[in-house]
Amino acid sequence: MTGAQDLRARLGNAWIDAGRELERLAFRAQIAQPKLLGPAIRGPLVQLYRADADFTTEVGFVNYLTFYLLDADIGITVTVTAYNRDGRRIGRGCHRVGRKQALQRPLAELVDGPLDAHGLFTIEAAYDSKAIDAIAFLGQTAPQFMTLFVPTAGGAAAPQLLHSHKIFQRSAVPYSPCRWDSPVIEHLASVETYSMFVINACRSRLAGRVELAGLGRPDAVWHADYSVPGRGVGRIDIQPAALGLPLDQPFRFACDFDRRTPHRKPILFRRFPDGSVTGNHS
Amino acid sequence: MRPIRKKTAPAGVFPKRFLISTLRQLGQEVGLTVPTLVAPMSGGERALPLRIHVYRERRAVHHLDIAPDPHRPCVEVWQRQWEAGLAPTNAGEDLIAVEYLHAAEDAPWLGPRMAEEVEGQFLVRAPDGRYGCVLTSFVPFRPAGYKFTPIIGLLHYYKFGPDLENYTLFVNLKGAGACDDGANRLHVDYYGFGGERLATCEVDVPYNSSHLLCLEALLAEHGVAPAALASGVIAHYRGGASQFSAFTLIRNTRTGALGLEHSLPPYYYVTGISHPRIRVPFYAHALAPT
Repeated sequence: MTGAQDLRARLGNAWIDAGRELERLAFRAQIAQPKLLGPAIRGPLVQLYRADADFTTEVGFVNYLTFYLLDADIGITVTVTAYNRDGRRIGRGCHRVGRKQALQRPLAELVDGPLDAHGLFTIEAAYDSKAIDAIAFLGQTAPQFMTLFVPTAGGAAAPQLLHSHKIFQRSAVPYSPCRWDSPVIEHLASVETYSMFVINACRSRLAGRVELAGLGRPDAVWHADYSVPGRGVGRIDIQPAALGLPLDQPFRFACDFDRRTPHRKPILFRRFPDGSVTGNHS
Repeated sequence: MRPIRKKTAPAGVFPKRFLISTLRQLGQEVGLTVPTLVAPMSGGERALPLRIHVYRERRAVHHLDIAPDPHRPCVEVWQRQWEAGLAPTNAGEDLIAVEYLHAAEDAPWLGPRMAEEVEGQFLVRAPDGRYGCVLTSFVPFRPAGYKFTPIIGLLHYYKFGPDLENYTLFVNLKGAGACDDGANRLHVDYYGFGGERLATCEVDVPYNSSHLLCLEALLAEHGVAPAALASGVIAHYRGGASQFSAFTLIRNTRTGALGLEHSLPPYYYVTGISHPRIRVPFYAHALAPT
């Protein structure tokens, strides 16, 4: 990193930290004055969707407040918004879950429109205004939702479950390079294809590099550069057999980012020769 | 949200364990990876040894010690390694608990490290090599006599279909010096997605064990017709007095493929719950009889 880049990164990190402090103060103000400023609810939260040959995506959410406050009658309205892989908004829908209710539907139905092959979606929660007094003592809350990657009909896989409590940032994020070394160990010998999805949960373009390295070896044995538009999702496919690596050895993925977007754990899927696929955050 | 006062680094070691379970009933071998923790003053040459405890039928029956390579970032161990020398069993599943062995001199650096988010990888592997995994946190390991807070589990993400089975996996460790006998009693209410109660039951999860529950079988036992599941099921678990990790598994019965995810405690949805001003009334509401 050159001196100019280093200064730019320091300024970027300072800007991000200042923004987080302001966000924290805003939440504290909401906690103190929920009637005036609205309840302090984390969000929007963000997750990947797939709508391709392998998976459709279902999203489930539950009225968690009425399972915690058993005598309360509070409705939660959830707003679901989907974007295509290039970050263009393609659908939105609002859904209310009443006392002790839940909902789990295909994302395309929830946002009332066709999806791209992959992209991100966001979840925002709002509570019935009459409930604000009853829940004020809870302070900050966050929506409870789950994403199910459901195999297409007849597929060999089982549905893959991925939770998220990562925030979607509506504004831009300045240059602030960082790296994620995944703790997940990979065994290449049994995997036909890896598909890695890099989620850009902010308005700025995100660029960087995905790497594969042996355990305890600093040098990457494979890498691919990526560049993802704001609010977009990048997909990188890797065929281990084509890499010329010792497939019986364990490997790990790592990912460099040119800015600290709020979601820095790419989602990884493994396709096996029988057609089954497993997935998790890296 | 950050607390009002900044956290202070803990002076002592806050003991934690990584808890997983075997999955023999689902035809899977399990494994784990955990990070290698290297003593900072050792010139990068002294990694903390690992001990893998095996609990079978509520008893600690075996342990395997591992000396990690300090130059590798993590340690990977599979069921076949810790079971070497153990008699085969069909008696349910084993609880596997992983701890870092350390000396008193490690406390100043290990305390803050363990107070951070230290994660392990719970691996499942079919006989043909297909594998999946989930990353999940180490859980606190409590001293004898510790008063545990009952757990609250809210699982709403099952998937029903002709080729699918849904499971809840509870693994729990009572703690140091604990009696091996007895059981956690969990009160479970099952609801349809419309909010109607489908069934209520008590589930006994023995201390120091893992417990694999098939949702479809349990609901059938309680008179819930399969047709009632199609619109969705919410499981609301409350109770117990030990340290839990809970997982949801969905199995493709045709191929044996698995989906696996860990559960999240209420902290993730009510972020101020560690504050006594919120914690006390929260649990008074959340654990009230239904």
